[in-house]
Amino acid sequence: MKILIIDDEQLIVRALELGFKKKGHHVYSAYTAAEGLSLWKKIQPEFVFLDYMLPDHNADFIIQEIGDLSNVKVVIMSAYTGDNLVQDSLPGIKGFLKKPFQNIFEVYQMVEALT
Amino acid sequence: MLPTSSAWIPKIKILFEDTISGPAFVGLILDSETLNVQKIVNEIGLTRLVKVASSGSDVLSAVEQIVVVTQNRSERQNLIRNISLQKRHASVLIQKQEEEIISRTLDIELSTQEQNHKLKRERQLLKFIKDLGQINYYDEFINGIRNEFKSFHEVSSIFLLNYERKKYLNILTPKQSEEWRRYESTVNWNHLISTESDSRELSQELANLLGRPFGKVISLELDNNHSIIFEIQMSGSAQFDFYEFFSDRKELLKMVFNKINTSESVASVSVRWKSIFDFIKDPMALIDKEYNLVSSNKAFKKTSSGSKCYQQLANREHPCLGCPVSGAFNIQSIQETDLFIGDTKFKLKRYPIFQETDKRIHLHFYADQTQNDELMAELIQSRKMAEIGRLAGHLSHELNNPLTGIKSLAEFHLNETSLSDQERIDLQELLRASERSLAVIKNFVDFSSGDIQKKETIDINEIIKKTIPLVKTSLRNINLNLDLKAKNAAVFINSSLIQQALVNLIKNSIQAIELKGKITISTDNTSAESVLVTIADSGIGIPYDIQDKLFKLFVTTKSAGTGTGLGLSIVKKIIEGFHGKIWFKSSPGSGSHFFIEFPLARDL
Repeated sequence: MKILIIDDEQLIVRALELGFKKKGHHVYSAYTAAEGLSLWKKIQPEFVFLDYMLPDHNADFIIQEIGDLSNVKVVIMSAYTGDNLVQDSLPGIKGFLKKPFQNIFEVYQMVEALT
Repeated sequence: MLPTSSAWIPKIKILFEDTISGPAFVGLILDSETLNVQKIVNEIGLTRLVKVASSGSDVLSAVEQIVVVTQNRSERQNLIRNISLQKRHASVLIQKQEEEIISRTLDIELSTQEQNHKLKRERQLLKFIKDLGQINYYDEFINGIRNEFKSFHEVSSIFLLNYERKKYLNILTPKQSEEWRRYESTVNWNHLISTESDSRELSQELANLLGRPFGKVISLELDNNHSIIFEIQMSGSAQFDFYEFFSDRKELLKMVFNKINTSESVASVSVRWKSIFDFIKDPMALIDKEYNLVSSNKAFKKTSSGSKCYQQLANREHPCLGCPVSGAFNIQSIQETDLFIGDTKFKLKRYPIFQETDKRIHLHFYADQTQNDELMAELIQSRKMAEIGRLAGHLSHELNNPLTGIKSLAEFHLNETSLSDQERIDLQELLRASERSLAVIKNFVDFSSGDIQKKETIDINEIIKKTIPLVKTSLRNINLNLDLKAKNAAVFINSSLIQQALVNLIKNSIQAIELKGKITISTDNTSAESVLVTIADSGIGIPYDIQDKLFKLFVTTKSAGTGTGLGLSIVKKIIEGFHGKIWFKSSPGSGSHFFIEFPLARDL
């Protein structure tokens, strides 16, 4: 499965990469919205872990740019407190992950759970 | 036997007639042995009879004798006549004099009566004037008139009328309260009284108004809006006396009424001002440069009998600390000072009134600062919390990301099988450190952004445990012990606010410890209904002189810049807001114990 990770926190990206790669997925990583958007369009991932607050844009921007989310499962991650609105304001989103994660293995399992 | 007259008459020689003393004869009787002399005298009306011998020489001497005697006699008689004449004159004179005296006496008596009457009138008037001098109000005025006219029993009633208002007539009668009685009336009383038209008309109108028969009326117009009405039941001389009495007093009454009118309006203005001053709940007073109270309002509590402001307001024997009276009396501008009187903090505003050297007076206005300070403290506290909230939000975002990364990586690698023991230990440390850091941030966010309206039943032990990380960094060389032995510790509170209170208290303890020391936080069940939290430190203790006002706002033991003096007042407010109690025990040099007692929540 092609998994795209977009987060400006390298340690998080690294932790997710390690876990998904170990499970045999193809993992692509980006650290900015612009980078992530071009990679998304290029590789057409089946699963995206998207940090809500990125240095150049918010997740909303990327979602809008992509437009059609019917072939992709998107999980939004956020360390931003008091942002329960995110889930409601972004239609087509499959999951929401609040940072800090309870446990990284729960995050790894989300791919199977949502597929 | 007596001889007949004819028998002896020839024998009497009439010598002369005594003409002086009326019809009398002096006779000379000759050879009269046989004659009863007395009889003869009676019979012929002789007044005097001289008996002489018939011989010639004897007769002569007898005649001489008679002449002498007669002369003497007539002189005497003349004298007597004169005297009696004079006596007659005198008696006439006396009579006249008596008449004169009587008439004069009458005159005098009459005029004395008149004088007395006049004197009495004047004396009465004088007394009335004196009485009137004491009168300052309408009711006193009408009562004074009633009293003055009380000797006239035929005056059945006296009224003071006020027809200032078109639609109403106000009536004040003696011996009633000071209230005027108001009657609706469209009669033009002014016209009715001022024109002195038929008093029967006035009487009739009053009868209509008061709903009773009304007697004869005498009115006195005091000014354009006021009159006195005398209702009288008299005629003839009684009425004359009354008129006289009344006329003597007319002008006087008008004058006094004028004075009352002025003083009543002045009084009502001054009463209004006084009530305005009394309405102000903050103490106000005029104070001279010797601290003497010139005047003060009700709120300026008079606790003692002294004349000084500090005696009366603060019940002190010396001026209040910080009082500006002695210091800068020359300052002409408004001054402001904070003063503590009892437990209350006042902002004293001082306005100069008179500036002449000898009678400088200032208006002191003592504004109770408690509420102001409370509001200010709450404002400062909420601003502080809002600032902390912003900071916490920012920190949580900045730190949660890398900490999540560290934690996730540590979790991933710990799951690997090919780890050396040291690697495993390091990874576990990494994981624990990241988790601890995340917890601190979460705590911090919860603390600063918590909903302070929400109350919940929560274990106070848990709150204390959650609070410790918030202060841990400040602990330095301080040993913090927890002794949370209360088994029933469920309290109905807002955890965010209680955490604020605990942070404040622990921070105070930390600041009280100069280098090394110990803080112990313990909980215990002191009764079946309450839990006691004790925060004990080994710090410098609280100076005795500020122990009394420690929970007051803006009281601080800390050096300038390190404390606002807000903490403990806020803490007390928070604790009491949840029906808790807070107190302390401290002695300088050997630390402080702060005690908080909460009632246990009932539903647990």
